Amino acid sequence: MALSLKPYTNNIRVELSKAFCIQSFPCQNVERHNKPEIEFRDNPELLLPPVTIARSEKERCLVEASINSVRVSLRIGQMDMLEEELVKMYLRFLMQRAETLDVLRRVPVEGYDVSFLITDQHLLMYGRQRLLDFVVAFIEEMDAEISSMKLAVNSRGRAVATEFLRSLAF
Amino acid sequence: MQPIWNINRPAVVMDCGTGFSKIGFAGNAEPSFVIPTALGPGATSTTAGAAATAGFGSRPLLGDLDFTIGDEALAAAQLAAASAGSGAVGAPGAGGGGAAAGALTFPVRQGVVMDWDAMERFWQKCLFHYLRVDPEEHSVVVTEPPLNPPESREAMAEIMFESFNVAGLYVGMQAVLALYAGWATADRADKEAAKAGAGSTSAAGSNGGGSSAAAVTGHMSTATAHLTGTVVDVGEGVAHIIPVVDGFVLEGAIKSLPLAGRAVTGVVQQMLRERGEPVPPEISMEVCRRIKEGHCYVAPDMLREFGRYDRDPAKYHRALKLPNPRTGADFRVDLGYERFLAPEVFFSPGICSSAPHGTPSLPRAVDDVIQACPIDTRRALYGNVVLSGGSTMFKNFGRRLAADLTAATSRRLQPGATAIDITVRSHAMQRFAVWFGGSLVACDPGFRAVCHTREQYHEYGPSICRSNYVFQDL
Repeated sequence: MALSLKPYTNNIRVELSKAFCIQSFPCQNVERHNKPEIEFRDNPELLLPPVTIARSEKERCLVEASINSVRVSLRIGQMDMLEEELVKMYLRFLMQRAETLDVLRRVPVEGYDVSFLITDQHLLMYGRQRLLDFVVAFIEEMDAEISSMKLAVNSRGRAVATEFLRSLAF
Repeated sequence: MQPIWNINRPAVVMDCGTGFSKIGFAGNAEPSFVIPTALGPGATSTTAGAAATAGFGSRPLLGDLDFTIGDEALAAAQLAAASAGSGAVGAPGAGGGGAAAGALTFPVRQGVVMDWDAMERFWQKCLFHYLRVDPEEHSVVVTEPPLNPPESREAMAEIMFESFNVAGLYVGMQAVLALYAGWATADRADKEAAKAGAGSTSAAGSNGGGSSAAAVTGHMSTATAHLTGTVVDVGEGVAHIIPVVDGFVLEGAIKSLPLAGRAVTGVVQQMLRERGEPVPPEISMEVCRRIKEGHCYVAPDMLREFGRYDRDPAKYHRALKLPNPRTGADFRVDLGYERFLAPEVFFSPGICSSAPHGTPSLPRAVDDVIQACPIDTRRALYGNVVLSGGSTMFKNFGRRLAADLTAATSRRLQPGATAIDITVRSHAMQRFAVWFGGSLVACDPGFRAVCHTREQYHEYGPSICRSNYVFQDL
């Protein structure tokens, strides 16, 4: 598991640093508007072809870039129903508080678990290195958290079952 | 989708105050449990060494479930203090590692929740151990004090929906719920007059007395027009006077007084100590509380009462014989003037040393509150003063308050003006008025429209609970 993580995140880093070449670009169609082009997709000449970095069948990262914004969508590896539920609840909790986490998108892109929308303003505010580190750290921490939560659920279930049966014993 | 309320899935009503928590099911007339709002240490901290019982300590995974609430918490804390004091051979881990619950925790202070972690654990035990419900299938009604910050409501919503996954949540204002309770248990005559006045044509088929919640639900839809009144909520820590007009609380006019149950107990304790009664110090608070609840009453006139006591001591003085759990011996306590002097703190705060200088008396404070309200609402507010809270249960409390209020208002009357009609509603459900109001609210057919559902929470987040509407009168 850990073996494939490093190359995966390295590749993501490379792709993201390519994608983070964004600048402020006022809207071409509407005066005095400045919109993230990746969301609106009015002008295909402003969009770059999307890149998918796949760690395995289940785990993918989609990087869509445009001239003034980048959308990073992650699909977290989920092996069984328990992990699926945990990921869903954990990410729902995060996404409900998307205003506090500036770069998080409130709704994930179709087919993915979580999405980030990074604009040129974010790049100015936080700095490109920090954003890169953030995305990579997010992926690593998600892995660690989900596995520890799964362990906790399993061991809690075992402990509760033991207590219950013990109380039935004479 | 499950309907929000049906006979098999009643809403759960939890009214957690500073002193006591009243928990139960909607549709009942009384709460199922009234327990002190306290968290205490669990089994490991109290039993020395490897306990015979479940042995939570040997299962560190379940250590966070190892706590008690309510009366058990108080008992466990006493036991823990006793065993620690007598230097018992406790397991070395028990002292330090008994979670953070080495002593009692009171999550609610002055009506406002201070410690959300403790509150969550308290609710957990309430729902799963006392009420034994699966929160996913029930709506929950919780109550909030006046001037509760909206962040507090959001935290409540977060805990309820995230941790317990309740089907619906309604955060009721304590004052408004108390008014519901007062209205519902009013005399039949009053209700008939009110219904005729509102032009309602619903048949008067309900039973009198209002002890059955279902009987009054049909009338609740006209209730909002009658949700005007002053709520005098005297609990354990603080007394609130809250004016409500048409279901909306006039927050600018709310007044809080430090005169409440604890102050009264303090006066009893002080007077007994001054007289030198042989009350053992470690249980003196408990003893004084019991004396207050059992033997105190409000006198119509303090000075005349002194005279009555002096003239006929045998009738009024009482002697109690109380057991001392520590030594096993009994001790004798004589009760005299404190029987009426202790509740007198509400009407003459000078008696109480803990009240700051210049604290107004309760009738004076009620008068000030109503005078601070818009002028067209004042007669209605005087006409419907509702009492709620355990500390209003003293005999003659309502009558004395009404008398003092009448005196205060008639002093100000211009010649030729109509006298102000003052009614202080004292009803059977006073002790649990807020809880009873919550129970009624959850039974109302309009509850579904105002209750925040799980789906709404998942869609919009905790901010949906920032506002709480009382029912719209259609």
